[in-house]
Amino acid sequence: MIDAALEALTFIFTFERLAWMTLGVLIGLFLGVVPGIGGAVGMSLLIPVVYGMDPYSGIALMIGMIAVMQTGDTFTAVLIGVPGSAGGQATIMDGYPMARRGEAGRALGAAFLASMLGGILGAIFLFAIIPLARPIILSFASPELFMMAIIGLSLVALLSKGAPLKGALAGVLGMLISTVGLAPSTADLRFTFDSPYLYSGVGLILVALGVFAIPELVELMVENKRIARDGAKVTAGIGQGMRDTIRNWRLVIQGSAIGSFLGMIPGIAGPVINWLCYGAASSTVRKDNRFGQGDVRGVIGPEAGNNATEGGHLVPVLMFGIPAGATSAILLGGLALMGVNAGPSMVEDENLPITLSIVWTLAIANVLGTALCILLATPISKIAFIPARRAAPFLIAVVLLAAFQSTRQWGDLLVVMGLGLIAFVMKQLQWPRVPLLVGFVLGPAAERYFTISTSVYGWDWIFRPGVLMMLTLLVGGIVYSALRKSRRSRLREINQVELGEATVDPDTGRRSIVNLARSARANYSRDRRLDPKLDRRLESDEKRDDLDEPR
Amino acid sequence: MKSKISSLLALSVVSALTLAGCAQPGSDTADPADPAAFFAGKTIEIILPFDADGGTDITARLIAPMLSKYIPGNPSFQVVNRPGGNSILGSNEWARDAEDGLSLLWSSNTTSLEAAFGNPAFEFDWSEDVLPLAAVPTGSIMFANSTTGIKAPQDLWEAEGLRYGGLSPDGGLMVQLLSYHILDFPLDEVFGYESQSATRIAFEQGELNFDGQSTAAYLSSTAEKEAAGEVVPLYTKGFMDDEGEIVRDPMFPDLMTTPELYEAHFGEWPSSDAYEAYKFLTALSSDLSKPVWVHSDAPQVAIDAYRKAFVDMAESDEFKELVDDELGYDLVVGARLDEAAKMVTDPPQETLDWLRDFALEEYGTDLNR
Repeated sequence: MIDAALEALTFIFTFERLAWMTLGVLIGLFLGVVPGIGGAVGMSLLIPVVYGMDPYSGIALMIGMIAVMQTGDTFTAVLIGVPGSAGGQATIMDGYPMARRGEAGRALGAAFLASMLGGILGAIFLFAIIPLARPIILSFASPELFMMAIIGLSLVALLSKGAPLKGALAGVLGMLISTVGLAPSTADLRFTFDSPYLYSGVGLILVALGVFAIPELVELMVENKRIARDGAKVTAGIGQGMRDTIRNWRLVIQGSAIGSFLGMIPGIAGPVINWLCYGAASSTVRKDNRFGQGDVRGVIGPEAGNNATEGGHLVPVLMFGIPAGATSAILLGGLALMGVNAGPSMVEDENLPITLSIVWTLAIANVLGTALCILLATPISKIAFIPARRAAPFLIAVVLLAAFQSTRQWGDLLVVMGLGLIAFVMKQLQWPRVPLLVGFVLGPAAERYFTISTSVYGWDWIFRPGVLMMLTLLVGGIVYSALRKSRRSRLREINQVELGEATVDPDTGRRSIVNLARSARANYSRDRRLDPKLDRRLESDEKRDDLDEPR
Repeated sequence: MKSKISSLLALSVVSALTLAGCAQPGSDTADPADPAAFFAGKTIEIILPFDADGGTDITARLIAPMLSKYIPGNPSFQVVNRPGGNSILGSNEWARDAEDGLSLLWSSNTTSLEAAFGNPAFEFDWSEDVLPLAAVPTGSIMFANSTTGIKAPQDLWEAEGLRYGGLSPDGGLMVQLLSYHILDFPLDEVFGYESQSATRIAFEQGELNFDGQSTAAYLSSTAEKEAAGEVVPLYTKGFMDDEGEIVRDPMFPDLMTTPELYEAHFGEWPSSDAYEAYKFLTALSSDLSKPVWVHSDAPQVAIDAYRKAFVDMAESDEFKELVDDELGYDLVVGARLDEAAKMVTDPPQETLDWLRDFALEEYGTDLNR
């Protein structure tokens, strides 16, 4: 197989095919950077081009594009807190707070190196798994997929940062939003209010933009500062970020392993894997875990994961001819146009060079894409220097355009604004917003696989070995974290008695008061009168604002 | 203040008049009967009322660039996805400014079914405002896993534990479900799978053991398994001929169609209301699987040019090659197209009523919403 791999490499290294790959990489980066345009659109534009092409060139073009789509979207996620693609949301969690702290360069450097390593590991995984793929994929039937969805939903607890009840409610709200439209197993319309726009439900990209981007942008305008509060290090930290990634090589391997393994299983969507990688990284990091507040490790885990996912996604596409999503459905169509019929024969001798050239393209395109991104990082990251009152209107236009891209109906804009309003209120009240998104993504999967499991297997599905294994894992995880938490809270009680501190966390408690007071200017003066201490704090904040404001 | 309002009013009146002037036809100096003059330098939009996700999208994007050279003036074609609302929103958007003859609607049987059932969300009248230009047909084939013990179509009624899985039991699936209903063999139906891919994986796993696929999907992956003896092909949905009767699928000439299999088992050709509904749905989903429409108020010169272009293209070597490579079936044009399109523009009311009751009773699906 190694011989065949080297032979395939010689097929790729011709000028023409490398040129096609470069073109694919450029398109892929572009699609990633521009929020709202998914890979499916790019792929479908390539279809007439690849018709009649030789398979190696066509593969270089199409796989080159797929390989780097998850790399380019890091720019918008980190710099402006807007998800560039549906699969790149978790990067925002820590990447954007880093940018606000003035460490955009560090976040980008870490993300790009992690992406590249993840992509290469994903390609290696694809190469290694080829003989084993079939039994693994076939062991995930509906009951196992239902359990995966439940494990994903349990992440809500992890991602809600000490407010499990609020987190659970936000998760439920997300699931509720996901029920709009045609029901998965009957042809009932739910919550559509006779509006045809709602027949097909609310798009994921709308939820992602509404939940993350809108509240951040509103806040940015209220504060009227630059994205990077501290501008000194914006472009300087790229090297430091790359060193961070190398130092945290374990997280890179963990993220890539999760990404490529779960990516292989049709029925587990990219965004789910993205959050699972984030959750896994957050729970493995013990030493001063500041995930969600701008911890560079929160960028490394999911970024390694989402590029590796593409390698995993290709396994069912190539081995079974079964697409993992719209992008790979079109890829299959493109391959068929060039006379390559995906299926078990892809690992037989006559097709092996083609399969291996896909693996190589994936790896080389990742290196190429990352190199381009690192070159672009310095100029692009200067966007974080622009004062809010100049940048924000442009960014809002970008967000609304991205939303409008999803179906190009006016409803898109209403939905994104409505969700943005809900998310803004949630942010002000310090409700975790990520669980909403996780609930939205996993709600339909949980519903559909539960219905299928019970109607195919009755209740026997609970006793399937895979289900029992995952159930044990889930219960064990919950019990373990509950025990750890109760020990920690006992420790805290002791501390509090000793120090005589209030139960409210002094840091976050203050922040919430400040935010609320800012958004509701009407209450501002009353609060001042009522709480002289707050008054002083607000004043000192305002003074700082004045200093930051470039005149 | 008052003068401001009145000047605003004046401005809007002027601009409205200007816009109305622009919309007047015949402002072109060229000969209105010359298609080359009409189309020269123009870009024609093909509206696809769904996402770029394979299927119709790939077909449209392959055919669109070929069309240009069969139309005088060689206009360029641009495929535009306008998803949403079960393809109704994109169709409405198309209809709003399709009267200039420079945009076409490339819909699917989902759209046709909504149209036939008269979904009130459509802002235009399917019986008056649209004309069919051509349609890309699709066949489909039913098969079982050989582990079921089925060796030939007639074994269907003896098999135990047959299980079919689908997405939601909506209009698009109804023709397949109706074929099970007519043939009346013991079959367990499960719904809720996310996509065709998911049902194919479930079939591989053994969670399901009976399935139906479009010709393209079957040939690209399942045919291999048929050759290996893992899958037994059973019957096809068939096509409608000029006389409105179901005939064999040209891609699978050795397989019986639903009515033929019925006759082989029950000894007579089916003649129920269910069969009338089946024929109606077959016309929509097989012959008229992916139809192209032009607005009926478009300039006659454009309509004639389009109709001729599709006929000419269908006969070209280049298109025949595409049929061999990818599509499998010839384009539906001419008399056969007009006959099938009537099912959308002038649907048989009694059949619709029966079908609506059937879907509601058997699957709780409201086709008439």
